Amino acid sequence: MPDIYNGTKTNTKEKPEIKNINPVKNEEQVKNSEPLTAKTKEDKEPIGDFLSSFSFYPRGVHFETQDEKEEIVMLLRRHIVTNFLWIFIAFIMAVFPIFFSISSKFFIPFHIPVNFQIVFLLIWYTLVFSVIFINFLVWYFNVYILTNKRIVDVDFYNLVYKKISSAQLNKVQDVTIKSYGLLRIIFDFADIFIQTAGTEPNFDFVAVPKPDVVARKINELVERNKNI
Amino acid sequence: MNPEKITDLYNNFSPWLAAKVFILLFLIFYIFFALIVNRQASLMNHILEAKFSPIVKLLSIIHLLAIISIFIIALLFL
Repeated sequence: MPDIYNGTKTNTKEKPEIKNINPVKNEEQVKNSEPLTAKTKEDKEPIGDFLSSFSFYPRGVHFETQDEKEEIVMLLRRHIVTNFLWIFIAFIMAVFPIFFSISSKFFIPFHIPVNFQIVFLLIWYTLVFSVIFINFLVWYFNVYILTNKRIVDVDFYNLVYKKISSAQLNKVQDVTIKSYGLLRIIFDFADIFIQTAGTEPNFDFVAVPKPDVVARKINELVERNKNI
Repeated sequence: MNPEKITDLYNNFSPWLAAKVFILLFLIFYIFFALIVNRQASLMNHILEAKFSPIVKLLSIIHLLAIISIFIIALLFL
């Protein structure tokens, strides 16, 4: 027989949902809205160093317009693979004198004095050093800095042209990842286009590694700055 | 100018002397270039300070000194 009466009363009514109407934020919200400087030590574990193309909380790095309370969250450069072309050119330049010394007797009909040969060689290897050094400088100083307050883009195109622009994180409106080409897929790097509101400049992070991580971090910091 | 002197100059013309002048002129421009590199590296080191900054500065000085040394060598030994 089915029970027609059950003596133990069960309160079938669900407890009414208690909405948090308290303007004071709950623990999770408070944690999320905290400025990044208040995060735990584990979250700020540095990844990469000052020479890598993807650094997370790099130690010992400062930039000119950095505030006292401003902290560098990410330091990005073009992916190391993008340097392949000039490294290859420098290598060809470095080995060129060896092939030249072997083959020169076939197409240079006159004798070059030894002192000239030495000076030519010295000039040549100084040029090789210049090619390496300048390309390295362009890579090294062309940085994208993400702090807990803003985005800073240092563009060092060549020796006579540089551009430094920055925008507050709460002005960021849209972050777009643009990936194309086989090389970018294989080595996991892409362009990140950051659109900002008003008169703030837009940013184009060219060939940065781990674009998904970078975009996620930018969005996270933007949200955090909007909450403050 | 005396036409004989012009003839002497033409007869005594050495292609290696012309090469030396060309090399020295090239190296003067190269020294200016290295100075710009050195100055720009210093300015950029000021914009972005890192542990590697002194090494960048040192490399730019080595670069400049190497070209000056080659200029002196070319001036004395060519």
